Amino acid sequence: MSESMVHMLGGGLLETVLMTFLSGLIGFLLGLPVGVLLFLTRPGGIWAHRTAYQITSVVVNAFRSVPFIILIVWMIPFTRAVVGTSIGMFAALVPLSVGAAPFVARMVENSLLEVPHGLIEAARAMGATPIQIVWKVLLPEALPSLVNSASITLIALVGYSAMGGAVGAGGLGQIGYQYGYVGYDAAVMNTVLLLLVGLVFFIQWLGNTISRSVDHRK
Amino acid sequence: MITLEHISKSFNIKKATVQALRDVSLRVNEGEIFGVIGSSGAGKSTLIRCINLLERPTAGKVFVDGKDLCSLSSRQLTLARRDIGMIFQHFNLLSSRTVYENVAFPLELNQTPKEGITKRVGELLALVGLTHKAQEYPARLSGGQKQRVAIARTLANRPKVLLCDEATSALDPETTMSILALLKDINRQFGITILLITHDMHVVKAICNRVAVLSEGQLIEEGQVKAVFDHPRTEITKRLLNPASIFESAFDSEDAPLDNEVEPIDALSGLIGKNATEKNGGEHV
Ligand SMILES: Nc1ncnc2c1ncn2[C@@H]1O[C@H](COP(=O)(O)OP(=O)(O)OP(=O)(O)O)[C@@H](O)[C@H]1O
Ligand SMILES: [Mg+2]
Repeated sequence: MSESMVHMLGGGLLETVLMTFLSGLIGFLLGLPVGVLLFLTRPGGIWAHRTAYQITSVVVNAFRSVPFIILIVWMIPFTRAVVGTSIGMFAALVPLSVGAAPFVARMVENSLLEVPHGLIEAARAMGATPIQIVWKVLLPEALPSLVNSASITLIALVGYSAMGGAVGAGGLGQIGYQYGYVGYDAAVMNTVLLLLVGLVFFIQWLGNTISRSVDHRK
Repeated sequence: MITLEHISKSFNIKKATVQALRDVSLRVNEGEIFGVIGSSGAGKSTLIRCINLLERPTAGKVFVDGKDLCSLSSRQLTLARRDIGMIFQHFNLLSSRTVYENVAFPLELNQTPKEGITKRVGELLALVGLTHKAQEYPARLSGGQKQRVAIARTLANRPKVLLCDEATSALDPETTMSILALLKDINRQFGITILLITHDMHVVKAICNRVAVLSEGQLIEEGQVKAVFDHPRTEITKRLLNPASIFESAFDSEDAPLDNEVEPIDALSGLIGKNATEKNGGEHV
């Protein structure tokens, strides 16, 4: 493999890593409050509110059911309006983040549901406001589970970003597409594959390590 | 200190209505330790949860320290709850916080300055004898130690009233006695009014001044512990006072032959089955 190939693959890896983690971060910032809202407003919740829950729930489900490749194309006008272009890594961040957010929201809702109900009761009995319950009880108690959700989301985003590569998002996905679909180069393809697998393993390892270190439930 | 006036509470599950409390009136005097005893499903937890309005009564009024709690706005109620301590059967400590941070929790809720928190948590941990465990996480503590942390935590804001929901039911007899001694001590030292609920008459005998008997959501007896226990006026109270009798009658009874036809355990479940189902129904999700 030539030096320029190595250079290109290195650049592709960097782009994929950036795309994954940046869109994961934005997706989490968008999805976390929505997940908390779902948890609070669900029937029997602290702020039980039928209409709010159902509307949020329907929106989340609608976004989750759109196949990612369709989402990218469908969002092109919006992406252009936000980033100025629909091609390249930064353009890809828009659909990736929007695709990740509803996924994150459901995972956050599930993580919060795992928090023992007695803890919320105790906090209410001590005179905690709903906001304090969210910040001081729900999120810290759900942290190990939230970290696991984050690694699952990031791993899904590695896959999404590679799909984005096929429509010009850059990264390892685009390299794989060009050197595999357009003209087959076995060395490049195998390297791309190994890099993607390595990245997924790394994310899983990182997630497990962090999750374990913040878990004091024994 | 605590006054309940004609409290009723019913739950609607699907189409059925469960009447958990029926017209319960009760008065707990300042500085007193008051016990409510009753079998499983009698409505004890519902009763105690109605006092700090974790559960809103369907009818009736709740006064704590002269305040009509049902009339407060949700913000006012939140503040009022900081003067009402509560401890639970399963402790409900935050697993993500150390012992120190758990006790600091209620102080953080009302923005106590940091030095204030350090000082107060230090006092409380000394009071419950857990200074050396300050930096441990709850998962590393025994049941008795967890309940001590929960007691320290609930005392942090100097409540006037302490509600105990089966606080010793998950503990062995020896640990139970040490926790009861601690509660008695707190009652004497700080004049905190304690209302505790239990199904165990030994708990009542050990520390209560007065006791009320709850059965199927109604108060059926009330008075000084000695008076009620020495001269129970109802069958239900007699049975609560002598839980062994239920087993004896199961085995002695003609209906429970000890041959292969009916397993003794079936005869037993015939007698206690009602309670057993109610218990399952009573678990909260
Ligand atoms: N949140 C709820 N929803 C529906 N029914 C409830 C709820 N809480 C309690 N109940 C019902 O109210 C009745 C009294 O329950 P409660 O938990 O107060 O009993 P308890 O005396 O505390 O019993 P235990 O000793 O088993 O804890 C039961 O029939 C129970 O099924
Ligand atoms: Mg109970």
